[in-house]
Amino acid sequence: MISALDHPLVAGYLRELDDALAGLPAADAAELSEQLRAHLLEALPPDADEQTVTAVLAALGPASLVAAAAAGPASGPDRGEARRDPPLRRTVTSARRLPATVWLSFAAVVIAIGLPSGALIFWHAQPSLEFYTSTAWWSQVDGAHVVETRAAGATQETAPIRPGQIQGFVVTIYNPSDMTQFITGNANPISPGAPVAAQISVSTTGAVQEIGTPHAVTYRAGGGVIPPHSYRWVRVLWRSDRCYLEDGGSQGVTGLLLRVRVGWITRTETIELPAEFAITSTAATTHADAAYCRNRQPTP
Amino acid sequence: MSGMSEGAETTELRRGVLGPCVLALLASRPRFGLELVRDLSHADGLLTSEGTVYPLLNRLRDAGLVTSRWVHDDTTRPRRYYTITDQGRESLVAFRADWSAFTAAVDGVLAVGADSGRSRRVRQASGDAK
Repeated sequence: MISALDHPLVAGYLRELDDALAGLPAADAAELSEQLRAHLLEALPPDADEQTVTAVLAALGPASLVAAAAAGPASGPDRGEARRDPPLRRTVTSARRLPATVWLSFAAVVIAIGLPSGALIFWHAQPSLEFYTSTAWWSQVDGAHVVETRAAGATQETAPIRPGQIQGFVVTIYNPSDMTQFITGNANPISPGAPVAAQISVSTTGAVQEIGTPHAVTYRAGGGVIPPHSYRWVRVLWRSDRCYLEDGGSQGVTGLLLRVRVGWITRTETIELPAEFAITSTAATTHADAAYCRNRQPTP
Repeated sequence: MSGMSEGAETTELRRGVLGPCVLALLASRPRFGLELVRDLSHADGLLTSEGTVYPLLNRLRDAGLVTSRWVHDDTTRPRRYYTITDQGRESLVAFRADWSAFTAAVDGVLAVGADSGRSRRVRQASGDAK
């Protein structure tokens, strides 16, 4: 059955009214809305023409004026604010008036933006890998010729360069995060003994059969995973370049720069080492390869 | 009265007396919303927006001066009737007494103002004639 409230002008007025009353306490707003609807039903026949409807609505006054009158006398210093709900409750009241489709759309946007953002924040918040107790030179030859020096609280382990040979070291790395971290490679473009990035390998298990003898474990070249709250051996190897260091020159690393994937993000993590791993040259190696190195000039 | 327009003065006056006028109408008999609004509208200039009567009725009810109840009649749609309370009647009696004294005082002051204004115009006219 069609009623006067279904007239487009009346329906529009009632929508404005409901919006205007949103700032009132819900019970007050509902009562006033019901009173004005009753007024309109009494004042308008169901088949009222547009002229009649316009006249009745004009006599009723703007919806905003009715809402202002309900909020309190305008002459007072607070202009009726004391009668209004606190801002938070007004917001909640307004929110409850929103159609379900608006809420569904809002929820979809929140999920679409919030989930990826939350995941990104979660992944970025995971702590970085860190050094864990053990280091060793990879080659026993290097290990036998290492010179350890301490100065100003820092330790340096220096091995002679062995041109054309594989040199490097291994360290145990701990994953303190709640997620598996996947080491994908080396972020440092040079290594101590050559102007190239060192190859990074990760042990497939965390077993330490004998401290200082990491050769007992199996490595996965090109990177590998470290499960949450676990450790793995990380091997850093390079082929030393006979032309890289001049006589008496040395170069070392105090931290590993690794590319690490956490979740769907890949970031660079710096693992501070307990000692600097350095390679030095001697007059013997320099003189022995002088001719070769001259041919390769300029050395990067 | 600088800073206050004539329309604002009238609005303030109207707002101040509308409550007692509603009580006065309800004192004769209970009325439903539209009926009350229509009766108020008959008083020229008293009501500019019919919709503002309903917030006023709710405030009078909250103050205990008016009660309302739904009446279901076979011949008409359900209507909410408003009835004045004893407290409302006391308030109305008090307002009537105050209003009489108030209007008498205001009328007296306005009359003096009108007289002095008329005298000033007369004096000015006399001066112009000299």
